[in-house]
Amino acid sequence: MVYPDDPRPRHPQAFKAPALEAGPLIGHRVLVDVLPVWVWSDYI
Amino acid sequence: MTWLAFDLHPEYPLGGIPREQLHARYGDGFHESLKRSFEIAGLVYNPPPDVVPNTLAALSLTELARDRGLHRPMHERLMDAYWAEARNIGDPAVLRELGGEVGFAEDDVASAIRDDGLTNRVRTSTAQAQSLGVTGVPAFVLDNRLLVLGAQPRSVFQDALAQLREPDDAQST
Repeated sequence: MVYPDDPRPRHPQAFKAPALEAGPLIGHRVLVDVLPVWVWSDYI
Repeated sequence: MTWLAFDLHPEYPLGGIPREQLHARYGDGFHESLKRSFEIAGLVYNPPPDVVPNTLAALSLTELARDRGLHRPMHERLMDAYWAEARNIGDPAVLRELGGEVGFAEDDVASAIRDDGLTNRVRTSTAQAQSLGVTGVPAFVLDNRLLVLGAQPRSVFQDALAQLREPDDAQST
């Protein structure tokens, strides 16, 4: 555990993007607000 | 959304590497493509022309900012400084200036970039990500279940989120 009390993901499944399809995602903003999302990043 | 540290190039010397070395590795086309992506998104693409910095100190400073409730402004200030303002964020003087803009005293910044606890946190976070299969950045884990690697187009995230709405047994097939 890097940070106290953070329920870090342990075994996420790699997402394999299917053929891209255009189209609206209804409620995506709500989903992102509700679901835990972890983002690893660097500055370069 | 929780942003976590990933030291993409720990092998870079503290002074960074010449940018031309990066261009030689990936080709000019990669950077032209990146520049176009920025422009399409309405963002300025202006990284430092001469150097690609080692970011361990910047990432450590961001961890201090996390502890002080200033993670978001520090993170965003560093991103803008590097990508839009051509600042060398591996330079301690630059970090002192940027940290000062967010509210840190110069001594705080100087201490943070030498703080073993903060640098170890960055290294541990990076190692944890690598253990999950993260090989590059950005890397997104959605709902503790799906790993999306790279700066993917919106449609990829739409599909990933749609997959998360499916029953668990459908996801495993």
